[in-house]
Order: sequence, then C-alpha cells, then structure tokens
Amino acid sequence: MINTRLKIFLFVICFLVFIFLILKLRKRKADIKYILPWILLDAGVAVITAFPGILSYFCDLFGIETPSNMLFFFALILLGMVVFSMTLTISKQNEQIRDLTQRLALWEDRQSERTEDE
Amino acid sequence: MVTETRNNTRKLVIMPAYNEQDTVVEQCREVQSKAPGYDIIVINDHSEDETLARCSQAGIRVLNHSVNLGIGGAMQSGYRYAAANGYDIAVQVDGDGQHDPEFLDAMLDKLIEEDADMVIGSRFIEREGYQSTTVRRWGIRYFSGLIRLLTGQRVTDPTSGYRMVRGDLIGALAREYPQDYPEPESVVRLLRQGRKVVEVPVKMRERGGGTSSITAWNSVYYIIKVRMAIMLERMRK
Repeated sequence: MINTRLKIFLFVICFLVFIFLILKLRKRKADIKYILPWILLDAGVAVITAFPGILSYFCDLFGIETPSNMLFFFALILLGMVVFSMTLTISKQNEQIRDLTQRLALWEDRQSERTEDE
Repeated sequence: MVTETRNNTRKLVIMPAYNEQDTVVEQCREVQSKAPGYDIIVINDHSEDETLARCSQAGIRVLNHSVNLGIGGAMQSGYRYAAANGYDIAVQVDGDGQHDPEFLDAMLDKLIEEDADMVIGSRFIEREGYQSTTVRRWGIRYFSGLIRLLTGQRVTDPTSGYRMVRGDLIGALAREYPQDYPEPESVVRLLRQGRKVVEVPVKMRERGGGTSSITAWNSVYYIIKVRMAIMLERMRK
C-alpha cells in the first residue's frame, strides 16, 4: 500500500517535527498546553505510517472512497478547530491586554499625582 | 435652575489622541478658553509622534497607553478615569480639532433640559460646517436608517464622536465599551437599554492634522462590522 521508501521518508519527517517541538519546549518558546496537541498529531501520523491498515478501516467505516480523501477531510476539520480555538484565545487576550493597559495608565496617573503632592 | 446645576457638576473632557501632535495642545487650550468649567484628560493611545511630550510640556494631564488600543479602548480609559474620579459629566472631544468646544454649553443645556443620558453633537441637523465626504454621508445615512428601523428612534449622526454622557452611564461605559468603530454600536446599545439619547446641532471642522481611523481600505470592513454589531445588539438579552 505504501512503499518502504515513502514510509521511511514519513518517519523521518515525523521524527524531525517531534525534535522541533521538543526544542521549542526546551527553550520555553511555547507552553506544554499548546505543544501537546501537536505532539499527539505527530504521533498519530507516525502510527498511521506504521499501520496504514488503520486508514482503510476508517475509510470503510465512514464510507469514504479513498484514504487520501479521508485524510484531507479530517486534517481540514482538525486545523479548523485549532484555528478557531486560537480565535477565541486571541479575543480573550485582546480583552486582557486592554484591561491591563487601561489599569496601568490609570495607575501611572495616580503615581504622578502622588509625586506632585509630595 | 439650569445654570445652578451646571456650575455644581464636575465636568470632564475626554480627549482621545493618536498621533495628534500638531493639534492636541491647541485643542486643549481652546477647551480651556471656551469652556473653563471643564477638566481635561488626554488619552494618548500610544502615539508614535510627540503627542505625549507636547502635552506634558503644556501641563496637560495625560493617560498614557503603553500599547495602542484604538478609539474604543481609549474612550473606555477616559470613562474609567471619569468614574474613578467622581465626575458627573463626561464629554468626548477629539484631539484632531474636529470638535469645536464652543458647543459644550449647548450640549450640557440639552442634557439637563431633556434629562437625557447622552447628547450627541450632530452635523446633520442644521447641515452647517464640515459635512464629511459624500461616500461617508451615505454610510452615515445608512446607519441612521438602520438604527431607526431597529430602535424606532431618529439619530441623524450616529457616527459622531462628539458626545456627552452623565451620571451612572459613565460607570456603565467604563465597565463595558464597544471596540473597533464603537460609535454607532454604542448608540444602539444605549437605546436598547432604555437610555435616553438626544442630539444637538453642531458645526464640525475638517481635521487639523493626523489621519482618520477610517481609511478607504477599511471602509468596507467598517460597514460590515458595524452592521453586524448593530444586529447583534438587537439579538442580545
């Protein structure tokens, strides 16, 4: 179904992605909370590469004709979920940044008033 | 009686300014000479020019945003300041020189006489002064019609930033203020909450410096966003 050469190629990619993710974690460029889904995804791809039969099984289950169509479909849904959760996170953070900026501005104003009084 | 109420209230001019170094100090001076009863707070929304320095030199009190929040965030800061310092009246006067402080008295009179929560200075009642561009007037008329349809009230200039509020509404706006082109949206929200919003005729001037926050590229987004926000207001509660 998948030839050996492609299999090795996919494993190498999965491995490199995994290393990349771990490095980001080590350098504290990203939280475990946000990296974990990507690690799981990477592991999932590795498992499917090792056992392509899984794909065919689910293809039959959902009545999708070819495994590649199913992969695209589920990849799209997954990415959609990831991006939407980011939309929510950004909205929330915008609000938090706004509140902090306003608090800081008011606090600085009170501080400068206090130093003037002294 | 009107005069009495007028003199006993604490009144604040909130002046949002983003890169308005050439006009903001002059605008403050004009408020001080034409409307001496008002305190002024400039909201410097992380300007990249000399806005902050020139205000400080001139002895004008400034709230300084360490990141740019946009007009909605700036106005909310102003209302938070007004609420924290116990002001009874707060009025938005833009830092770009569009709003002539000469009309502050008329706005305050109207607010008290009509016992309203908000007075909007409208360009389109007597149609005098700067009337904006044709395309913008269409947009404004469109929002005006939409607001009339949804709330049944006539608001001729829902995009005007020249507006005065009082009392507990200051606290309410400090807690929650629409962001991203907030003017028409906030009018609808207040009307839906049963607040009284009235208008007085004002003459606006062409901006003395700086650029409008609404550029040609943004105007399509502006129309769609405000329309959605207005419809959302309708669906709330």
